[in-house]
Amino acid sequence: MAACCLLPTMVAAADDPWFIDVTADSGLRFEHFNGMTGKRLFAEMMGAGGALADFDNDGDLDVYLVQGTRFGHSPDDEHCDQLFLNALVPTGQARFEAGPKLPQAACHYGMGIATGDVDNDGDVDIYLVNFGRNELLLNDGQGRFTSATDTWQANDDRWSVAASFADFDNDGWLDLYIANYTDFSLDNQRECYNEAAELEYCGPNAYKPETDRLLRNDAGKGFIDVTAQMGLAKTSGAGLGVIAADFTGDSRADFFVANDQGLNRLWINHGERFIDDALLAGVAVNMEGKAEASMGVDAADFDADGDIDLFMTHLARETNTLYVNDGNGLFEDRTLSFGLGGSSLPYTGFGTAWRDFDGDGDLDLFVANGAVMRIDAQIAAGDPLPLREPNQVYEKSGDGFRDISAANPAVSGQLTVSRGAIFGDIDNDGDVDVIVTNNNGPAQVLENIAGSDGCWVGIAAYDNALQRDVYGAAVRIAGGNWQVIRSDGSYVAAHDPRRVLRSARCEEDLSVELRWLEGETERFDGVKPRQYHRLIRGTGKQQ
Amino acid sequence: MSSLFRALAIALLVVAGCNKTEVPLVLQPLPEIDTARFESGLAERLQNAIDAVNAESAEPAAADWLELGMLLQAHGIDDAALVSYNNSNLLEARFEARYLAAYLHQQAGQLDAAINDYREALSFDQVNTPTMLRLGEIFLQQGRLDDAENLYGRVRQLQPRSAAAASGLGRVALARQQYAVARNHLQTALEIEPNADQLRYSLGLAYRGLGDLESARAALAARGSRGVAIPDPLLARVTALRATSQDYVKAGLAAYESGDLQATARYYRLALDSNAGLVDTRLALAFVLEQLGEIDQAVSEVDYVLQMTSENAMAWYQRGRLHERTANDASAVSAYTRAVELAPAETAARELLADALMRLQRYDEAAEHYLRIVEGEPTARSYYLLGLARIASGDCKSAAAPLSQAYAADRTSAEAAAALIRVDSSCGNATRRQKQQALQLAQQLYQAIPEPEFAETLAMALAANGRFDDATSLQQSVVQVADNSYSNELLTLFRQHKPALQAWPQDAAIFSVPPLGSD
Repeated sequence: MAACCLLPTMVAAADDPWFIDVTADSGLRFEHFNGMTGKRLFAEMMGAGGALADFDNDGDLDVYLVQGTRFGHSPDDEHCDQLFLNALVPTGQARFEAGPKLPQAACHYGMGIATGDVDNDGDVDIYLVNFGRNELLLNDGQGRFTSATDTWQANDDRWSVAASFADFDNDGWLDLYIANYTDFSLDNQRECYNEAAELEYCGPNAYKPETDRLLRNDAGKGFIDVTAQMGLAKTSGAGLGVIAADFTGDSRADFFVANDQGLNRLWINHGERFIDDALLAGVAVNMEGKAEASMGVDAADFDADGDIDLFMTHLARETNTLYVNDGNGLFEDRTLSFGLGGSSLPYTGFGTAWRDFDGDGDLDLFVANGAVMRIDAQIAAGDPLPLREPNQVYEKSGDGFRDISAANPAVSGQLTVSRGAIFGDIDNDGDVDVIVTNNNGPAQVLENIAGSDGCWVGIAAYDNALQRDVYGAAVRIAGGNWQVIRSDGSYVAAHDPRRVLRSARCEEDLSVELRWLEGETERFDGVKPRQYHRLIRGTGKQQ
Repeated sequence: MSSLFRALAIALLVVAGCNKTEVPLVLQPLPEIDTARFESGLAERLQNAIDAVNAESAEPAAADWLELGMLLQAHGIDDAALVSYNNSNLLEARFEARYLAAYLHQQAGQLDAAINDYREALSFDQVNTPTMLRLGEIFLQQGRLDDAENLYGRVRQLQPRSAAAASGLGRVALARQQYAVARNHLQTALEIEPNADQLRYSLGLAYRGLGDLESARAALAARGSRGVAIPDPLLARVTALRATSQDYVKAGLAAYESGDLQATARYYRLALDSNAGLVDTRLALAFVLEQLGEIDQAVSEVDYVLQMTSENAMAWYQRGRLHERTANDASAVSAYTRAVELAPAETAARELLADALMRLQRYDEAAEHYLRIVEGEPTARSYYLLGLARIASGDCKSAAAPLSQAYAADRTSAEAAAALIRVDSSCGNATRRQKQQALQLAQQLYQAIPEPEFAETLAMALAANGRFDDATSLQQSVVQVADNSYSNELLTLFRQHKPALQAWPQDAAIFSVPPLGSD
C-alpha cells in the first residue's frame, strides 16, 4: 500500500522542473563579447566564465563575470570584466547590482577565474586566466580590487584557461596551479576547414600544447614559480580544466588536469615533487584508450563510498566520461553503465559539476554545452556563431544518472553556446543555483526551485590561525557522506565553496564532522538546520 | 547561388503496382542543403545526386537515394544522409541503406535506433562481420555483455583471425573484471594486429587488475592511438566519395609524410583546382616544387599568393628562399625584410635575412637581426651567430659576450668553443686571464678533437699567451696535414648546421691567426 502511493509521488517530483530562468529579474545584465571578426580565431570560440563568491563579505554570493576584448586590444577599456554585488543581505531579495569599478587589469581577453584568499586577510581574491597576460586581483574586503600581478610575480603571458587555488604544501597559504592551453596567438593563426571546405575553427592539435605552471605562495609575500622544482616543467598538454583534491588519501592536495585531445594528467603530490600517474590510474584516456577532448571537470564522491571520483565533459561524438575511484586511487571508466554515454554524444560539454540539485542527498550533474565546430543548420539560418546546443541536467537515480533535461526547459529549452557553469546558492535557501556563461551571449541565471525543501545545513570552514576560509577540508553530517569545500572545477569558473549537507531528520540540531586538510577530524554539535554556518577550527563552534 | 539547389521538401507518393489497397509510402523530406557552401565540383555532384531523386519524370529509385546518402555522408551532411537512407529503405529495404543508417545513428549516440538498424541489416546478411562488430560495440558500451560476447564469438567463428573479435572479447572480459581472460584475448588480438597499439591500454588495465603493475605500466606506456581495424568495404566506398579540397590537402599531407613528393604536388594541385584561394596549400605546393627542383613553378605559385595578398609573411619568406636558390641575395634580403616586417616574432625569416645580409657583407645589419633573434630565442646557436656577425663587422670586442653565452649554453659545441678561443686570443681588449682561459680551453678542445682546425685554434691561443715557438711548431704541423685553412673548416662545420649559408666572410679576424708576437 505504501509503495503504491509513494511511487507516483516520486515520479512526479522527478519530472518537475528543477530550475527556472530568473535572469530578467536577477539584475544580472551581462553580455559576453568574443571579438569575432570572421577570421575564426581559435580563442573567440572558447568563451569565458566567472565566479560566485562573497566578495564584499556581507554573507551572500556576488558574481564576477569574465569578458572578452577586441583582438589585438589588451587591455581594452571598452570591454572589461564586471562585478555584481548581491543585495540578498540585507534586502532579502537575491538581486545583482553593479559593483565597484574594476582595475584595468580586468580588461584583458579573459577566459577563466580562480578564487581564494591568497593573502590570508579574510576576503576572496581573484586570479584571472586570460588569452594573454594573467592577473592577480587583491580584494580590500569590500569587493574593491587592485592588481597585484607584478608584486606577486603571478603573471603568465601564455594562453591560460583554468586555475586552481590549493595549499599543496600544507603551509597555510593558498598556492596556485595554472593550466595553460596551446601556443595559438594572433601571429600564428592557422587555417582549418570543415567538410564543406569552409574556413572553420581549428582544434588544439593545430598548435603546440603548453606546459602548466605551479606557483607556491611565499607566506603572503608573493608567488614563487616552482613548476620545474615540483616536476611539472617537462609535461605539456592543452589544459582546459584543473581541480585540486586528495585523490590518494594522504592529506596532500593532488591536481587533476583535463587536457583537450591529449592525455589528462593526475599529478600526485609526493611532497617534494608531483608525479603524473594518470595512465595507471586509468584517467588519462577513456575506456578504449583514446585521449578525449577534455574540457570541464569535477571531482566528488558521487557514489558515497568514501573516495573522490571524476567526471569530465567532452567533444560531440565523444561521451562525457565518468571515472569511478576504487578507493586505491585506481579508476574505471564507468560512463556507460551509469547512463552518461548516449545522451552526451550529440553535444560538446564544457562547464559541469556534481551538486545535489534536488535535495535528495545524492549528487546530480549539470552540463553546459556548446559546439566548437559550426553546425550546418545554424549556418544555413545565418547565425553568426552557429555553435548552439542545449544544456543538460542529470538526476542521480539509483545506480545511474537520468537525463532529465527535457523536464527542465530553463536548462535545455534554449540553444546556446554555453561554456562556463558557475554553481552556488545565490539566495541562501539551501539549494544550488547555476549561472551559465554563454559565448558572445548573455549570462543566464537559473534558480533552483527543487532543492530547498527538507533538512539542510550549509557549511563553510574557517581557520582562526590562518584568518581565512579553508579550501580542501571535507565535511559531512555525522555518519553521512563527505563533501569537499572548494571553489575550483567546472570550466573557466569558480564556485561557492560552501557545501550544503542533507539530513533525513530535522527535529533537532545537527552534528557535523569536519576533516581538516591535515587529516584531523573535528566534530561540531548543535548545528542548527536550514542555515549557513562557518565552522571555526579547534573550537567546535560555529558562526 | 543557394537557390540553384532547392530543397526536396515534398512528400513523394509511391504506389506499388496496381494494388489500390496498399498504404502509399511517404518519403521524408530532405533537409535544406545550402550547396553554395561547397566547392564547385562537389556542388555539381551534389546537385546531380539531388536531381536524380527529385526527377519528376521518373519514380525515385532506392539506389538513387542510397547514392545521394553516401555522397552526403562522405561530406559530413549526416542529417540529410540519414533521411536519404531512410527513404532508400522505404522504397526498397536493403542491407546497404540499413547498415549506413545504423552507422550514422551510432555516431550520433542514438544507440537504440542504431541497434534496430543493425539488426535489420543483419536480416539481409546474417554473416556480415562489420555489422556484428559494430553492434557488439554498442552492446559493450551499454553493458550488455552477454549480447556483445555472443556477437564477438560469432565473428570469431567466422573469422578466427579477427583481431576485432578478440579485442571485443577481451574488453567484455575486462568489463566483467575477468582480468586473466581479458589479458589472453587482448594478447591474441595484438598478435594478430600488432599495430593496434590502442589495445595496449586495455591490456594494461587487465594487468593492473591482475596486480601486475610492472606489466601494466609497460603496456600503458606502449599504448597508441591506432585502434583495431574493422574491414568495412561499404564504409570504404563512402570514404572514397570524399572530394573536397581539404580531402586532397589531407591526401597530399599523407603523401608528403610517406616521402612521395610527386604525389604530394599532384594532390595539392587537385586541392587548388577545387579552391584556388587556399593560400597555405599553394605555399605548401611551392615548397614541394622547390624540393623537386622545379624552381620556376615554385616561384610562380608564390607569386600567385603574393598577388592575392601582399600581407602574407610566409609567402615573402618562401619568396626569399627561392631568390636564394637563384643566387639572388639582394632580392632575398628584400623578401625576407618584408616577411620580418609582417611577422616580427618569426625567427626563421629573420635568421635567413641575417644570413643573406652576411653574404652581402652588410655585417652591421646582420648583427642587428641576430641580436633580435637572441632577444627572442636566446639559444646557443643564436648567440653563436651574433658573435660571428660582430666579428665580421669588425666589432671583435662585443663578440666575446655572445660567444661566451653560446659556449655556456652548449658546452658540447666545438664551433662555439673555437670561436670564443679565437676572440679571447685575438681581440685587443682581452685580458691576460681571458687569454689564459682561452689557452686552457683550446688545449681541452684539441685534446678532445685532434683535428687540424682545432690545432690552428690552439696555435692562436699559444701565441696570444706568448708561447710563440709552440704556436709555430703546431702551425707547421697543421700545414703539413691539411691544406685547408681554419676558416674553410669552420665554414664546413657551420654549413653542416646551415646548408643555405654560402659565402661566409673569410677576411674576418677570427679566421686568421694573429701576427706572432702581437698582443
